[in-house]
Amino acid sequence: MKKIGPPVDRVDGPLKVTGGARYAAEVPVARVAHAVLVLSTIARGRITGMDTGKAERAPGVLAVITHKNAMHLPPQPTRETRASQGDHVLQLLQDDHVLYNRQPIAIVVADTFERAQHAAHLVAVRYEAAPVDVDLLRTRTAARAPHPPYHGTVAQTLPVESRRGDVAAALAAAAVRVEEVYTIPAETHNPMEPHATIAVWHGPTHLTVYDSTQGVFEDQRKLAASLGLPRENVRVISHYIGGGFGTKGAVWSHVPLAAMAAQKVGRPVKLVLSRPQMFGPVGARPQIEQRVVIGAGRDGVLAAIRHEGRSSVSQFDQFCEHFTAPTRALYKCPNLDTTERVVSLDIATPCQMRAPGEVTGTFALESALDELAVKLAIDPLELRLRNYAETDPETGRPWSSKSLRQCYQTAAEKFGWSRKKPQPRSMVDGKLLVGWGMATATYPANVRPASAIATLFADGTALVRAGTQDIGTGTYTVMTQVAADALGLPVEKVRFELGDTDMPETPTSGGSCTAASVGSAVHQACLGAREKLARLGNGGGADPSVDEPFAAQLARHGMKRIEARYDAKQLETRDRYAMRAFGAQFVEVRVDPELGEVRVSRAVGAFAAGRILNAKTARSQLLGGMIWGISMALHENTVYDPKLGRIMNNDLSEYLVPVNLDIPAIDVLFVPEDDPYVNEIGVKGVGEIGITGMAAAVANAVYHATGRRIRDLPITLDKLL
Amino acid sequence: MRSFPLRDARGRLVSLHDVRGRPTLIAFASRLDLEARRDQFRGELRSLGAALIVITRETIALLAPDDDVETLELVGDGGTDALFAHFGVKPGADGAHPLGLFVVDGDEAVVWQQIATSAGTDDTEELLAALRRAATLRQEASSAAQPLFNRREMIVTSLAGVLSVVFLERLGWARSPAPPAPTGATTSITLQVNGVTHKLDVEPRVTLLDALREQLGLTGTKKGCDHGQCGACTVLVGGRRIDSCLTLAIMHQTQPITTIEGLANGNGLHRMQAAFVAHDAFQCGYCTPGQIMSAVAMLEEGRVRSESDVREQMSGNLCRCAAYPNIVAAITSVMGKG
Amino acid sequence: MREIRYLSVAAEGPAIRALQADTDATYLAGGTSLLDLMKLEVLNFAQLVDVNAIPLTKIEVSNDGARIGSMVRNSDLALHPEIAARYPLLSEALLSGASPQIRNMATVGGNLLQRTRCYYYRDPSTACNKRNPGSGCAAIDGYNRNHAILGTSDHCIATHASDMCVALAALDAVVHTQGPGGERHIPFAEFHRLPGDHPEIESVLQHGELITAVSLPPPTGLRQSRYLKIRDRASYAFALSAVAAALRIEGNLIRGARIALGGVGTKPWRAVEAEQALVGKPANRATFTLAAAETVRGARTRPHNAFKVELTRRAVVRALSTIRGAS
Ligand SMILES: Cc1cc2nc3c(=O)[nH]c(=O)nc-3n(C[C@H](O)[C@H](O)[C@H](O)COP(=O)(O)OP(=O)(O)OC[C@H]3O[C@@H](n4cnc5c(N)ncnc54)[C@H](O)[C@@H]3O)c2cc1C
Ligand code: SF4
Ligand code: FES
Ligand code: FES
Repeated sequence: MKKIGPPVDRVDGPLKVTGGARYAAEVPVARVAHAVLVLSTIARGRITGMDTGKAERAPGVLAVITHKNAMHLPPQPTRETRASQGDHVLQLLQDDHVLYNRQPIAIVVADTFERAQHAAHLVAVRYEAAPVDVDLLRTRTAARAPHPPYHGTVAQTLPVESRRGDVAAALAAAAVRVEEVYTIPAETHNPMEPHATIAVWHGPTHLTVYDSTQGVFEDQRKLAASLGLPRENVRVISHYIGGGFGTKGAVWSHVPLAAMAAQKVGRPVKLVLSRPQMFGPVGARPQIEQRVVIGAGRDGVLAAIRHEGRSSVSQFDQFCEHFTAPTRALYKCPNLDTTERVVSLDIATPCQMRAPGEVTGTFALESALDELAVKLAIDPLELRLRNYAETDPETGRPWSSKSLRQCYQTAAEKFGWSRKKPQPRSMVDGKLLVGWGMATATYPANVRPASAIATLFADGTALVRAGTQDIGTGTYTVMTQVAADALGLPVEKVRFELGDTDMPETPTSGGSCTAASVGSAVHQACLGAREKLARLGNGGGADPSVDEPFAAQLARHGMKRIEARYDAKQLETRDRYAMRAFGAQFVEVRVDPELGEVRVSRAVGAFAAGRILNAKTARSQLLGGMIWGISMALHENTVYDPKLGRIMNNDLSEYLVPVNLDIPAIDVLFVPEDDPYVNEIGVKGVGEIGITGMAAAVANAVYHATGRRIRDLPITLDKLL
Repeated sequence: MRSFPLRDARGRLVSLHDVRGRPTLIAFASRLDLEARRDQFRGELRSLGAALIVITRETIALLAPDDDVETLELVGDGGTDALFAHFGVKPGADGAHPLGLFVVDGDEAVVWQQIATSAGTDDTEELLAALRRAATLRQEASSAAQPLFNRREMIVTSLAGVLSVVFLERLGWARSPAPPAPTGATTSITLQVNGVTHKLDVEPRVTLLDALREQLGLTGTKKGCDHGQCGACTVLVGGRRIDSCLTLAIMHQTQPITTIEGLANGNGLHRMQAAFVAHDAFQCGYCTPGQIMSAVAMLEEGRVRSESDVREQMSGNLCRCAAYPNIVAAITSVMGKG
Repeated sequence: MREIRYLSVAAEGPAIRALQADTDATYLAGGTSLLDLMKLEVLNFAQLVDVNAIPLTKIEVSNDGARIGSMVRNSDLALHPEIAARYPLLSEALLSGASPQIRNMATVGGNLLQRTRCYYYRDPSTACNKRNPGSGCAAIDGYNRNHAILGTSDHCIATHASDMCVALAALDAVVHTQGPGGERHIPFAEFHRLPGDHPEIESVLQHGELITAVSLPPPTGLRQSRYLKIRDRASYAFALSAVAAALRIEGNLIRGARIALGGVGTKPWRAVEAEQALVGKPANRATFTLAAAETVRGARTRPHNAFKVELTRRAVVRALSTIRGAS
């Protein structure tokens, strides 16, 4: 296997460029009715009255479902009893409580989309509203330790506190200290495809759902549990997903609601969230405030780090942003204290958003290190090299592989870092200030149990299936490659199918685990099929020592197909090694000194993430991640009205993400890495590491350009005036 | 909806799921002699990557491209009549069943259906002829190197298309009724989309985007915001790029409309489409049709002198996967060749 | 969107009569503002009279000035060679607005009447005097980053979001209309109204009055111009502050000046005092700085938009200096 896989074009490419790829809302289903959610317009209180008469009488309306007439569901999990990461406490029209603004409070079903949408506006709601508290930085509510994230035992959890050494003493003794507070506003995922669900009942007990989801099996489990069905009665299909970034990694209320609506009207129902409805009920990155205290010697060697902070969570559910995770793993430092706290606000539940914890934590830590470098007049890259962690600083375990030094070197060279003039405001381009900044990127190498099935046909083709998802990450393509590789076939002869709970079980696509987890399973299933074939023996035909094509072997045995299944196993080597991917980000900005406008003019990222399955799709993932980092640094900001608790910039013209003109040429460099321990196929995942460190690199570059340190994202021009 | 569990000769339960992943043609007929012609059928099906299920009053047979004909039996009572009834294929006055043809895609969704008003007694020849024609057209349309993967779903479209043209004309079948028009104030309008004139009944408030997606089944044009803020819904009207979400269908009855489905005009991939694939100018693919339509129109507009012009003039199309650098590369590669 | 009746007309007369007959009807041009807001149910007209077929699509440019039909698309106007040559300020302003797709749809008439982007106006669940007279203004004590600092009242602080109109304000445009009461020729400064006690009334147009054209006087001495738009991202964003400026410099003295502002006013904002502060003065940074201060005199800010005062001052200086640098 090559360390860097060939840049094969996406196998689903032709479908995506011709409009042939069908996303959830586009599956043609006969007699489908259209559902539109009605969302609350207050953030806390009770519904005291709902007038649905006008809506019910509107032409084409089939049903208006509220807490008064919704189907009665079995008891739902609570904050205390939730079973997994994606197991959110949902609002399924079971009572009159309002817990956050834009909470689903009714669902209107009609024969056409226009009619459902208009009728939804006709539902009149009266509330008894209570005052709200939605702003992490202004709230008087005390931070608290998070509840244990899940009731179940399945999911691994990260510690919310950690201690090593004696931080207080080390800080007191340190020659230099940096202590700063960094804040990040709520950010909203906004995949281009809104959440969409089509629910089709087959009789009262069997349900098929076409859903835009990052986890068909989690979807299936949650639907079954919410509706009180056996899991095997629910089938979830998700062949194409128009982006997720975390918001589609959990099941939100609208999914069971679509099924409830379909049951009510006795027809299949399609429910698509409008863009404003994407701002609230389907998660967000929490608001986060972090304090980083660093003590170091004059030589820049770290003596102690204290990293503590709080993130926002809803009043009724659980989510803790693990922003100290990268701090525990990145640098050699004998004394470390980390603490994560949450504050319950009258907001909807936040959730994972691209590189949760790692991206938010690296913004604070890598900014603070830059501040330390400035204080010590040490080059920021040099500072990081002086504190390079040869083993995992938390556990002392060896790394399964770590090539961060090569990442620094490759990226710095390409960027021309050695030509940096250290003084702020010392580099200019005409009237514009030029600034250079860098930061470290990192993301854990996650693997979760996955299964796959491989079938070889007598015509020399193969079909490999696993229930997994392709959220734009290239799963279709890289799995085809992994299978082709294991089977010794050209990719054209292999078809890989996914996105269906009728296929072998795989994890939710999150935590950059799909390529590694499903890839390993596909690899094993294919090897299994070859082995089965080999066990058939020679059968009196050709010399078995010769690499006979399997088509010929099958033919010789008079077989039409041979099939092998690989079932998920926990990997053993996982606790002997520490496993992470690393990278280095270098950024150049140009800042208008008078108008405060910041544009990233150049960026270079180098990453070592084990084996790269497909150089083309992996590059796109990293590129996308880096641009997300730019977006986080300069644009993204979910703004709540303080009195209404309602997100006011609830569309794509006010919630800003970069447009084409904002994005410069970006270099993505791969540092080849061979990791025999991380998993069967040596893959660490590239979906999220690209964003980590990036926001800090931009902020550091802005500091270098202007001499202004912005610790409060996003870095908008008003902060630089 | 109801599912119909079937049992094979060895008593194993099978269902439509077992042929899922391929487009499947379901044929209801009075008589169809699959067994006798199975090799011919198999040849066509294989080049189509499709499976065939034949349902007559007496038997149900499944022919997957790699397998023998399997005879299936409906589990439970009612015989195949229940299946006929479920798919809406009703017996004629003489008691004979008319022909019903359904193209089911990999999602098990019926994407095309026709029910004959008059039926022959043995429809084997007709069906085979249609499959042959579909297979030829398919091969013409796709480049030889196209991986298996793409064939599967593209075939659904060509199957449906070819079957409607060839098979139905020969049998003189009537068009199956359009989906029930919504009650109330609809207006009959005409749209010329990708060279085809469509008559449809819509309320005046229906946007061009929703008419394309919900009425004409042209779901290649995407809805990202519904408010002119993302460009996912970009189509060409009279050759100019516009956001189809902020305009009404009823306003565009005279100008030709081009969507992503019609861009290549039947010739494989348009070079912009090919460039997007080659440069990996997308990830999730949801913004992609809009990006491509916008890029094609931008080059027509002829105001691009530099890469930075491309960036500015493509800024009406958001890509949350942030494939921007690759989008620029794809477009400049087409310009380079242009 | 509510159910609507739709009527397409091909001439001015039928259009005007259709509206005269129905107080709940309005004109539909590009649709990019109207349909946007009808989908949000911010606007709820019962009948839309489609005026796209009315042939008001001519652009005539001569030594007497320019006359632009109201149905001319924003992109066609911006790229019209004679407009681009004689009124570059207008071209620049148009091309800085929205996206290529929207500019292909948007018309001159519609752009004049485009509605504000106030977040609360666009959200029918909130209090808004403009949308629902008398209900209050949620923006004043809410989130007000994109709101106005000039021309506000206690009842509304919403910004007029157009870029084109800022250029038209600077260029002394005249809006021509045809209505039940005959023709009118409305000087640009009088076309839009300040919010005052009635933010729901945004222009001096009467119901049924159809915009037929916009005319521009000859651009005498206004060739040296600059449209500077400052926004949170590089393109496809509304202005935080925008400056349309033109100077006529003779020797080192300023002989003529035009300044209009966008993104900061409740209507396209002509800064007459600033212009007066420039004329007769040397064209240097000190003069520009004085004039810039004049543009925001009397600004009333709210917590999230206070930065616009300083930003606008700097933008004015930058725009004027750029012109100076180029001349
Ligand atoms: C996402 C987005 C971004 C945008 N960004 C910008 C920007 O950056 N800068 C900017 O300036 N604009 C921007 N716009 C606004 C855009 O320019 C306006 O929506 C457009 O100019 C309106 O023109 P229209 O023809 O589509 O008007 P319509 O929506 O058809 O009509 C608007 C109003 O004008 C009335 N009307 C139209 N024509 C006439 C007529 N001839 N006589 C009388 N009344 C008439 C209508 O009744 C309606 O009330 C943006 C719009 C969107 C959706
Ligand atoms: S600023 Fe004007 S438009 Fe906005 S809420 Fe207040 S009254 Fe309404
Ligand atoms: S869907 Fe039309 S612009 Fe977003
Ligand atoms: S490819 Fe996913 S939004 Fe562009």
